[in-house]
Amino acid sequence: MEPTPVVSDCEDSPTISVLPGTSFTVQGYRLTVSVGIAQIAAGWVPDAGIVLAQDNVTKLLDSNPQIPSWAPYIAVGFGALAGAAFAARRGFDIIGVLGLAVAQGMGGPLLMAILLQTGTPEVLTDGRYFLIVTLAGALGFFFAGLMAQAVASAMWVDALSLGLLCGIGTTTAQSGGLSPVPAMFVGVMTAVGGFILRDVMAGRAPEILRPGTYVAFAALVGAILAVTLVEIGASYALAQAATLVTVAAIRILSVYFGWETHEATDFSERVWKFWRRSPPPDETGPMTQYFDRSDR
Amino acid sequence: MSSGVLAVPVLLTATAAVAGGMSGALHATRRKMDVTGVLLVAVCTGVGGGALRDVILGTAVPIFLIQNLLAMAFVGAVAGFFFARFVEQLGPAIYVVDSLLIGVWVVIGAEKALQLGLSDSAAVFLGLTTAVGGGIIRDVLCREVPTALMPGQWVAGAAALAAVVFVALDGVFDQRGIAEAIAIGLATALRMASARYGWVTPDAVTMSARLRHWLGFDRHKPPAESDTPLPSA
Repeated sequence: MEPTPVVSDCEDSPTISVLPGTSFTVQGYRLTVSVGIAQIAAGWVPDAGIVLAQDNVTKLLDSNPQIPSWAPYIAVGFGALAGAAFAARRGFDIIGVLGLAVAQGMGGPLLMAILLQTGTPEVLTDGRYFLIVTLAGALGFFFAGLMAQAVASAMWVDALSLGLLCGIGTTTAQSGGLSPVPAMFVGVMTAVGGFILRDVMAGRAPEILRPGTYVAFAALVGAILAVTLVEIGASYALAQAATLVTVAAIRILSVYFGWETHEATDFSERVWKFWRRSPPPDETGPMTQYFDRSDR
Repeated sequence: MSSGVLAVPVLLTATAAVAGGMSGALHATRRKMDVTGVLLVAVCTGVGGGALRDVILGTAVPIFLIQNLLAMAFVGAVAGFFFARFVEQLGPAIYVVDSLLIGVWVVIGAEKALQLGLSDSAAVFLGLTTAVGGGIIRDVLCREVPTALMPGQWVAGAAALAAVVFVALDGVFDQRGIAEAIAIGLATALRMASARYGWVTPDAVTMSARLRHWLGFDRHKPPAESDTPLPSA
């Protein structure tokens, strides 16, 4: 598909909106829009804001030769299938199934685009994502049982999607000029945003925040790895590929060996014991007056 | 694409914000929320859909910050909080206004997307987001499964059909005004007819079980247990 500039009919007529992939020349500058939609007013001079959109911000993966360009479509489609099967087996209607398919499949990339304010999300500007998600929703609607089985048995696709989205989120955030720790946050949110959005829309506490096999933890490790690699000078493409492999490996190993995250451990009693060399505060001690005594 | 732009009258968006605020306030009052909760839920219901759309589009300042819709939703919320019984009496009027507005929201959201040159499917999505986003945010805040997503009246279903019809007509016939009118009429008619005749949106059909049955894979299974209750021990 060859994107063409679209003359928008907003209030200011000399403004044009251009889609990703469009190249154009303004006052001698050759520019290519990589993410979102650029609005260019007549008489506009390229400044720092547009230079960012020109070559720094990576499109979902198109600059990465290691990872095939159809990978994001698979990731979004698989998430959508999982969301649709989830909704269908819990008695949602057709809009519910489609809605949860959209939420889980496209939630991560949508959240990333919203957090980074890079303009309209690519999952909206590229119509193929919606085609895939709608297809997955229809499959989940009509073949709920079969699709739930398929999603459960194809766990490795889920693991690869997690790694892919984590790498994309982290590197996009870094290329947008974020410092390492916020970039890690954006990367983790891109990876697990779909799960969170699905559970919130289904009215329950997000499953990935509860003890279980490594999902968000794997994404966090991957985001730290990606940030470190980029900081020591690796290319975005290498960081994305390394994150993909690492996150998928951690996720698959955790399911295979049954590694699980733990709920909070309360060390305060042990610290108290160590500090006072005395019985813990529920026996005696000057601080007990500040503690909750409702159980006594 | 023709260049017709639905210039949204401020009166319309203001009415919608007030109505959304009222219905959100009633919803929260029935759940025994306190004054902060009622106001928050009501305002989110009133401006949520448009806000969600504008945040996702990410191209300009959300419209509810420009047109002072927050204040209108707030007015509706206060009315719903203090005059809950009176507003309950207005129920039928709110219902009619709401039915009419579903299609309008769909058209506004979809047009905004088409104007930016987004794909048709994205336009359908944004139309639907504008129409039912407020209700979904309201239900999430009340910690319930969104009613828009569960089997029930044709509200989100009507919005989705209207969005598809609008985008299709606009793309095929290039007559935006007619497409708008048809989409709004369709959504209103479907919503009201479903309320009147008790139509319920379908839930998931497990074709896998049916296929297994049609193809005879479950032929050797023992017959299903009879409905007669077991003799009590």
